[in-house]
Amino acid sequence: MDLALSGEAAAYRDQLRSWVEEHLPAQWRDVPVGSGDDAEYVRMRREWGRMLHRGGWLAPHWPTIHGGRGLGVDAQLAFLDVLVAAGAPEQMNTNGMGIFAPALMAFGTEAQQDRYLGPMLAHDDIWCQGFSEPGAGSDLGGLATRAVPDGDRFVVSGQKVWTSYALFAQRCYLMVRVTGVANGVTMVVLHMDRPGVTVRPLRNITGSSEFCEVFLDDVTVDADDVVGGIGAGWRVATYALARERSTGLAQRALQLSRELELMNAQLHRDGHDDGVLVEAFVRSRVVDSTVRRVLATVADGDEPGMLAPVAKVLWSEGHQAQLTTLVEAAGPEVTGAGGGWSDWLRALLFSRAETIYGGTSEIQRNLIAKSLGMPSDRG
Amino acid sequence: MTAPLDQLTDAQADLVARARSIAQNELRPRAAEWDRRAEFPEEQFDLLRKAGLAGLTVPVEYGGQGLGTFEACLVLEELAAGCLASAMTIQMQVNGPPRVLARIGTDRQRKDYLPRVADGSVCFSIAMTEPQAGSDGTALQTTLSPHGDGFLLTGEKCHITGALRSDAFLVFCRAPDTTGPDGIGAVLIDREVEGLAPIETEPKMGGRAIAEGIMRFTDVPVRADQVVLEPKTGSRDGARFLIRQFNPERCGNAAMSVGLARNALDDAVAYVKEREQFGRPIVEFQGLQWKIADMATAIEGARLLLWRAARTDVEGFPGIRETAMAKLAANEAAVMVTSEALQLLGHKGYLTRYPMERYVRDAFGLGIGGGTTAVLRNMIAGEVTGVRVSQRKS
Repeated sequence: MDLALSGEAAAYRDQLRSWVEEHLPAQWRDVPVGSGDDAEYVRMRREWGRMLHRGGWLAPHWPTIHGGRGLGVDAQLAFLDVLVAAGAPEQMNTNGMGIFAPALMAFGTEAQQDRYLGPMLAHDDIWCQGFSEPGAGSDLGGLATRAVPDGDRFVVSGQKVWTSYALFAQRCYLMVRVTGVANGVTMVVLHMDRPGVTVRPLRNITGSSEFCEVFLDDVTVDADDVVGGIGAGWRVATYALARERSTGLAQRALQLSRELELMNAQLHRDGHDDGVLVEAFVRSRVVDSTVRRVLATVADGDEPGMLAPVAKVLWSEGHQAQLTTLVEAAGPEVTGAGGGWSDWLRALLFSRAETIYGGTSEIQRNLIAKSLGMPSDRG
Repeated sequence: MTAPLDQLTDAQADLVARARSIAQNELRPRAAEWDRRAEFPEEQFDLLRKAGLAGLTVPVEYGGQGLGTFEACLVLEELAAGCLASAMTIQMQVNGPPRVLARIGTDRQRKDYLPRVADGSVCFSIAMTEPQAGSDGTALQTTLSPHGDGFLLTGEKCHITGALRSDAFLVFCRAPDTTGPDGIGAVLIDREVEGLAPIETEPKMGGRAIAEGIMRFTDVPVRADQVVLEPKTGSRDGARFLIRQFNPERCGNAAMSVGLARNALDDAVAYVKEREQFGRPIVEFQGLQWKIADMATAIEGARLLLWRAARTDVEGFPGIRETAMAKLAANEAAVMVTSEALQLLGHKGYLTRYPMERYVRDAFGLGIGGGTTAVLRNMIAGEVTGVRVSQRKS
């Protein structure tokens, strides 16, 4: 299966390519994911998102009513290909646009779509994901954050962890358990500036604080910010997570090949044997093809099914493997983190998160097994 | 009857128990602090020095315990399971330049340095790597030129483990106008010497408390009695010795890798037994059990290879083939086990609030220092096939 570009998508791609060449600042090219000072990194990605939005380039596959171009998913693939080839950073709002927006379009009310999608696209609102909790990581069904109905609102209390860029976010799509109802798992929109929201950054292996803890103490959520209805949270979340594992991670997955070109150049420049990356090149082509298959499936209006977790596992584990190979091939000079190697070391450390976030590799394998019809080990 | 490979004598078992007690009670509680401060763990070294561990392999007649590579590895595994940085303070003393002095140093050099190594009043580093001579060690360019009754040393060394703290250095160098494996030798240089620029360092990913230094020598005067192995034009003895003298250090590196991996596995096992998801401890999931099994097997396998290598210690230097295999297996076990352990801990593994991310950072450095896994593979292949191919471009 392949995703051939329509004439419209091809024209969009050509125009975007010219625009990127003209507008993407040189210092923003090939900046590794998660690199540098957190605030500065976020500022760059947010500004890049705003520039793309002002140019009318973001989300070409979204309906025009929500600020897109009304093109097919093939145009979104063209968007990713152009940005990856140029070494452009991800725009800041991938979490909102890539994961939650499709769920909002599928399950949200018209009013919710009008209220949130525009500012999301414009990068006025940065979104974070409030799913994981200290006691509910892989077992998301074990979430304990409570939402107590109180007239035309809910009062929410609990704790979320592993919340990317919560420190910089204005909105959060939040999984809660509504009390007093059976199967009360519900998705709501949380306004991060409400009283009772406390965000605490967590320093991680790279030294940065992308992931945060979010403490919720009697925070008010408006009843009209429930997405998909009370008790529909699991359905909305599953839909959103499937997008995270497929289209949401597509740019990073397609980036493997670009990254390998840069690795190859660095090894060659420093006189190392660049043949060690051959296996990684082969693997990157497999990842590339799988991601394109996922996008083609979505373009046909089908659910990606097993392909999404397959793509996630191939990409995340492949990325770790190619970075490990690079560092081992580079030898002693890499340990001092000088000579242009520090970015790769950081990427190597950052990649350790990639087999954890968006569903661990273990959970992805469970999903693959389930798709294959294998029995659950829950008995 | 030959003793089983994994059997220890009573004295060795006592040594392990002593090292383990220090590591778990004294070193482990402060390991994160030294990593965060990125400073030489002076208090830890003092503790180990007073426990007599700095002089573990120094011959008895110079005040040490006269033990060998095997005992040094037993101790280093235990220390690294508590705090890698603290283990590294001992590694250079028990497996580094003092072993060379004991083996080929002059009487004066031994008397001058070894008692001070034994009581921990002098710390050594080995200065071998250069900007253009890392994995390709015989490409070194630091030159020892005759000058009057002695010599002048000129050149640059980098990635010198412990350089900021060490009092003395075994510096590998070459005779003028020689290249490749010809004309390589080594000299002893004290820290306070004319012509040695202030030692620089740069932040690194793992083993942060033991900084790596950049050393620049400009016409440093070297007396004849500081020469350990004189570089001679047309002789490859120095290069041969250079390769062998790394073997105790490589065994020590493997031991620290095993200790680090063991520590990560222990933490991961404790976590999967405690952590509950889907209504039960996650240790009950078969997929995770298989991970644990693979991790434990990698550690045990690496340790057995290491013990075999350490027991091939002849005149202070274990065999090349056995050592290379042991270090390769241990380094790869450390990277695999710490990475999988981080994965088992999930979010907690990734945060600096918990030690697992430090183990991952530390593991990568062990696989690079003292011979990369890539170079070790070349060496092993050369030993196995008998075909040793120069990787140098002709």
